Amino acid sequence: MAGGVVEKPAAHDKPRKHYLNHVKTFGSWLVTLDHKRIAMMYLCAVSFALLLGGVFALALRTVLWNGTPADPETSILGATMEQFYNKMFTLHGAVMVFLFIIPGIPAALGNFILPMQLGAKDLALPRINLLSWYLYVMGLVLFVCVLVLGGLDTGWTLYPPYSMGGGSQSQHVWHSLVLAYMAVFILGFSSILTGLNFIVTMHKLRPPGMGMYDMPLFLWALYATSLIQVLATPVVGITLGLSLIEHMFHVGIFLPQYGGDPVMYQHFFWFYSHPAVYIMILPAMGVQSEIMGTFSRKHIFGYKAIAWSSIAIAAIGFIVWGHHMFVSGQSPTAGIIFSFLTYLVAIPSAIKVFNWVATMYKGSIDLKTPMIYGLNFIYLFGIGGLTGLFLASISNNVHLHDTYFVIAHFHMVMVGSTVNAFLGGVHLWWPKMTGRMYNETLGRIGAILVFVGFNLAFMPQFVSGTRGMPRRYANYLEEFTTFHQASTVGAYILGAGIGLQVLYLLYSLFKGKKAPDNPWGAASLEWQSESPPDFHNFTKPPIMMGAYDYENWEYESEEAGWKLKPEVIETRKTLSKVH
Amino acid sequence: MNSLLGHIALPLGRSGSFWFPPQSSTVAAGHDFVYNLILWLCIIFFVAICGATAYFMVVYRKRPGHKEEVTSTHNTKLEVTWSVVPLALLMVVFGVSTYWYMEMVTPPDEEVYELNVTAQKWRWTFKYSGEAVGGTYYCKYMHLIKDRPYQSIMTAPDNDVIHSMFIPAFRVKQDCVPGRYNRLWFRPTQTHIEAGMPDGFDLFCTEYCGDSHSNMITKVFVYETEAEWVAGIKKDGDLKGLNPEDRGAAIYAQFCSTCHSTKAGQDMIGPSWHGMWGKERDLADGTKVTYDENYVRESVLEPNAKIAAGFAKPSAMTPFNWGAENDLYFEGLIAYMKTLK
Amino acid sequence: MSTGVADHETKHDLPARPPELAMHFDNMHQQFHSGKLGMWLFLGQELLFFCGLFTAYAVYRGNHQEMFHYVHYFLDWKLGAVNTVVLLVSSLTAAWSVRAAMLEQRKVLIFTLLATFICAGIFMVVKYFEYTHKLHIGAVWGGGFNVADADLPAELVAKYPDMTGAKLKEMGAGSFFAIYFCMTGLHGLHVLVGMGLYIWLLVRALKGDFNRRWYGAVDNVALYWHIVDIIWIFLFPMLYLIG
Repeated sequence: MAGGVVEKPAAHDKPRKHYLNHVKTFGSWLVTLDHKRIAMMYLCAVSFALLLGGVFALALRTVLWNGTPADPETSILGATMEQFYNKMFTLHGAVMVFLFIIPGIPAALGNFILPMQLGAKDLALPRINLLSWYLYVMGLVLFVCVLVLGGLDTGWTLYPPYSMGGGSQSQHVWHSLVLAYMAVFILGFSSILTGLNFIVTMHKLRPPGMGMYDMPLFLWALYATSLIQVLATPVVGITLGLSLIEHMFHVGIFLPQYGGDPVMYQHFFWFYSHPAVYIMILPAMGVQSEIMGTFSRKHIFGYKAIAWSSIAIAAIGFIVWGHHMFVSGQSPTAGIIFSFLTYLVAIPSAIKVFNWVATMYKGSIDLKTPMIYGLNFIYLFGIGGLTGLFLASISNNVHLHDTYFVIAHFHMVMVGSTVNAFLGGVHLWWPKMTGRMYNETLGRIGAILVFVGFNLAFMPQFVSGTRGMPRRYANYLEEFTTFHQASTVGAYILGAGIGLQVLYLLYSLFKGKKAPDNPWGAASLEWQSESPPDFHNFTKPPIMMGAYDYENWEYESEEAGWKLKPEVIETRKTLSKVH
Repeated sequence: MNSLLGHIALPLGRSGSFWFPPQSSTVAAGHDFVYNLILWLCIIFFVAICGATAYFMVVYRKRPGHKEEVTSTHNTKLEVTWSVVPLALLMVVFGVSTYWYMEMVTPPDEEVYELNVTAQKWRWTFKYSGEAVGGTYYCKYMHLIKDRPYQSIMTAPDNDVIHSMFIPAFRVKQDCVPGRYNRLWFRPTQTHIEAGMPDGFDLFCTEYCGDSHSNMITKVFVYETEAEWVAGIKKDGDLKGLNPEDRGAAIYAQFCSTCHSTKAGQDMIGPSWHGMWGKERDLADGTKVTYDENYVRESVLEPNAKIAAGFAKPSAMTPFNWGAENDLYFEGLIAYMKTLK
Repeated sequence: MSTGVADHETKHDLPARPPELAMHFDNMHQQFHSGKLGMWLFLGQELLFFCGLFTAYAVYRGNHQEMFHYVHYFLDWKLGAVNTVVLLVSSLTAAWSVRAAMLEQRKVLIFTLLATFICAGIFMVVKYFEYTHKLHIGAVWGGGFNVADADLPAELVAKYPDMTGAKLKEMGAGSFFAIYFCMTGLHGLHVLVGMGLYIWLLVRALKGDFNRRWYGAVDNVALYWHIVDIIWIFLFPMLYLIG
């Protein structure tokens, strides 16, 4: 796109019309069908959820600074230390999982970027998209109600019989639980509808001339994610529906004293929640593929392997749920089969990592903020993925199950990888989404703070875990003190890193430099739109080219960013010509 | 195959290696072997991946005069290699791990002592009976004899919640599920003294079970001889030999102290026992009751029958029934309550 | 501003767009098939949604084989069969309505939509009688199961004269009814949603909104209706017939 904002004479007179300002009323946002606006609302909401969950995390780490059982007389907000801690870890888990990490990358970044990477004007089903957003809002509001009612102390997994009080429960917890079941049920449908919409869009709105193998890998990752969302989420929907019925009417499905089976709940729950882990990580891997290519200025290595490994992870992910239940009384044979299948998931994950590293080979590696997140990702996902091998080993899992080793492992994957990729993706697409550049120096400092804080918070937990520190403990034996205090310090550094980002990103909205159309020299189609994009996404039909053909772009200046080479513009067809 | 780190005793901890508590059961060594095998594989791969990343980052960093080169976008041989080699390694790991798992879950052919474990909010009860101990004893600690196999039959009461028994030094863990019996087999190989844990091995609850989850920990004692073992059980679980007040105090410590305080006015999950004996008590339904023998007995057997004003309904308490031992227990409890003035 | 080819293309070069075509689609074909794929995916998730219940059914059946045998006499297979026939007829009329919409046969369309709605209504009325009878005799879920011996189904008493309500309760008959009410209840909820959708289609058909270019809504609702049918085709033998 030669031209763009800066060169237009009109730009000096009045601001260019784009999706953010073409209609300005508040009401126009509430009923918008524009995927970009819905994505921006999602971005605000999931960021809020991230901060809320983060505050809970800091609160629980603060409680854990001191390991001795608290004097029963000490109380925080009307609860004993233990009760406070139990609520904090429950809400931390529930908010982070259901409100931040599952919708995070797909619904916020994916919603914005997916149609643009296809050169389309919107998602295939814009009304469904809006519905999905409002379902999310309902879920968010219900969770806030749970919070106001006094919180929940069931753990985010909501295992019966404990979640249902084991036969006894105070009234406000009873209500909180009803709301929480409804919230998760509704959020599940929000997630299903997003996934459904993405699949339809990728099949039906992919322009002629763009095959599945021409799509950016981010879209393959979203495709695999969407498959899981559509096929796994309904199972947790029915599980929580049944739980709600059980909780209210005691019909005897999950509660042993009425003839139910609590272990069946665990099977149902993990049949969704294990694939859900891949809902969380696959989009992150997609973002990672985009970042590694762009900032190495190299065509991504092993495109097809990365693409199909996403699908393989999604497929195998459906049949490994039993590895959460090795010590629940499940038969050893079942355990061994699940252990075997779990090892199989390691292979596609490893393939991806090898391909990312190989992509850097002979590149020109630019350590911009998103790339620092990309490198963090390789390191942290490396640890997170490899420690999964210990847990997949059934004999080790018996010892490590429900210890801090598990906590550290899944935080390495969920936070170390997904949150890193989320932040990397936000920094990568921030100029496109908002039309503003953030401060690069602060960006790098933020990324490094996140890395340092994160490692300090979770590396010690591997050791305390193998030494026997159980999870969800409000207090602990004295020998674990050093590990816990290191974690707490790390958590605060991580919090500071994220806080810094909130500040400079908000600052950039008002005072940031105007972003060029393509500040990074990335090659997928969304970078051919203006920053921020027009209401219809592309003012001129984008030129068809490979998503990783970085050689088609050349650097002009910091203000103008990267421009398509003139010979590319002359020789290639535009999207509308292909039709 | 022992990890280098494995030999560094951590100054932070008590005994054991950097990673683990001491190996005190027959399966611990196998578990640690699998762990170290995976650990070394992981270290090799991790160093290779991060090393390559760091090397590329430095050598191919963006700088004036450096330009990226176009290289091939895929290489089937390379890609197949780095898929198949890890797969083969993982299959080896899977085999070794499963072998040791089978050792863990297959009890020996010889006679195995069956140990009944009941987990309740928030305490452990280990039931010992049979000729060797002479009678039935409910203990709050686990007592074992070195080099003998044990099969725990584990459960939780129907109206309780799921708990999980974890003994890090033995590397074993199993859930206690209400309405089900799970089995867990192990054979200790050293006494707690030999392992450098004079206070006993730790036993944790690892399935989240509520307010006092983190206090639901107890100890495992492993003895050299049967005589020591019987003595340990009797000291822990024998209430007959004690006078009623001391017996009541022992019952309180084992069964009641997580929820009931004996200090004045200090209500926890249940009401404090201090100074209650013989007084009128307000109930949740508005009526009153005298705090006497009948009320105590009823409240222990059926916690929901009369709930004190200001406490959750239905009651958070799980009922207790010691069967034939009931009279002995109630005599003790009542005598103890009378002392709390 | 030299972007070459792109500059020459403006909107008025394109063929006229039909009024039903949303701005982000290129043509009616693409729009129709997007909606249809979306519906198929939705049906896929519906199946998985019910799968949870089918699994629960299988687990409980495996655990309480004998009890399931005794208790299935509580369900009247004749009423179940009537409902099966009613739903099959409604599927026929639903499929017919799609054809009518495609061919712009307005009267046939309105008639078939109405017929589908009425069949759904009959199904729910029969269900209502089944439910009230069970609630009346106390054949309900969980610990609430309390059936007087006089209320036991005649067929059951004929075959097993010494069977009592208390025995059934002891065997865990409450679990069967928990599963029964959850499965048929959720299915009934889907029927109710379907009835709402058919009213909506009827209103639009009366307004003359459907034509040969645009009948996707009729098609998609019919697809939904077929899945509701198919689920019942599984529920009927599993609950009413297998002893």
